[in-house]
Amino acid sequence: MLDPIIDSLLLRFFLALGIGALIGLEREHAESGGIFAGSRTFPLFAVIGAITQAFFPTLLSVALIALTVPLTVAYAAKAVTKGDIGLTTVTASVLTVFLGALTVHSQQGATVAVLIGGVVTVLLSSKTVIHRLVDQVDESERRASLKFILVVFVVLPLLPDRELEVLYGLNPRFIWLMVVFVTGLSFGAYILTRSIGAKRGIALTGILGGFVSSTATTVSMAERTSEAPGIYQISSFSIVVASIVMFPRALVEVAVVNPSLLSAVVVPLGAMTVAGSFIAGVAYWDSTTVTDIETDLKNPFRLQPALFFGAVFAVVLLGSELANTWFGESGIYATAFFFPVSRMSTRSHSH
Amino acid sequence: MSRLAAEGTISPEVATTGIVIGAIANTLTKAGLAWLIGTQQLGRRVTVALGIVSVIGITVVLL
Repeated sequence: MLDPIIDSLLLRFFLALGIGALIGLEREHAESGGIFAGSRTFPLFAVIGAITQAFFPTLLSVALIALTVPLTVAYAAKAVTKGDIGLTTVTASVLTVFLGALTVHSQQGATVAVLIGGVVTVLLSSKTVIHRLVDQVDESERRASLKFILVVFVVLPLLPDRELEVLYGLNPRFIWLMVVFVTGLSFGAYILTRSIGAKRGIALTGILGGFVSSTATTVSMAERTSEAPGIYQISSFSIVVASIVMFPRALVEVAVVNPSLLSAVVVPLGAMTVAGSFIAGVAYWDSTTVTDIETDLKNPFRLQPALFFGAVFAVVLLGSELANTWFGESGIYATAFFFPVSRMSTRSHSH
Repeated sequence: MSRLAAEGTISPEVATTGIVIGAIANTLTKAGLAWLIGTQQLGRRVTVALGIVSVIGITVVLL
């Protein structure tokens, strides 16, 4: 029983050493204002973390405090002698102790430690790239990013993920997900437009958006167009492409649910896909490359139209539920007509 | 729809027509959204493009 633990423990110590060496090498290479910890010190930090976690797990905080003393002294000395108050190396040191502890904590911990170690090293070494990027971001974009983070990472998890009686059986998180898609695609279109140009940026949003949600793509593209009417040509390409992606997706769904039906369905849906792709190609070729479109997409993020659409989406969902109850299975075509709005386009990306 | 056909509740022909109608309804919804939220120019373009696609789909099913 003990052997595998000892075996893996030794391995985990080497893992900790490796992660420490990775971060340490980067720090030494960076040479940012007086190196007080580099390719030898960082592996030591990681090993301290690993040993403490493996044998004295309750003393982890003590070890950390003990380490912060020399670190603080070194940091103060660096700040005084070099006039550099950057906290990166100190922070990286503390993180390395934790990463070392993680490697011996559990299998999952070891995986997380390797992942974070790698990401952190990349992050540290891309200092100039990141700073240059941040310099390019203006005030409105900063605020837009914050709002988007709020929409995705704060509001979405807060909403209950179940059908609520108060909302006539609607799932608030599912509806908010649509708001997230619309704002996200709109934001994505803005970023792509700024980085690869308006025509290609909007076109790419349509192609990628079709796989997420064709309805959300349509809404965000239409919203962008009402803001900047000049983009209507390339915007229509995006909407058409996003809509067409749904046909092969429906085919996949049929293949999963009822394979025997596939041969019958593949002809009409295949024809629609081919025709749609051809029309989209014409639309792309026909759309002019307007250079001043770039300045037209001013607002990176607008919540209000997305919220409005979320409300409409909720109403449509309720309507299709009602239609289903009224028509039942007898009026199969009528049901098909009402159903897809919510079901065909949303079910596949709801899970 | 395809599940109903698999269970034998509806014939494969009816199921196929139902799925195509569903797909068309879905694309027409996109055209409606383009009119509603976007501009007239956008709405017209999307409606023409997806209208052609829908007509082709219907024609193939009826043939």
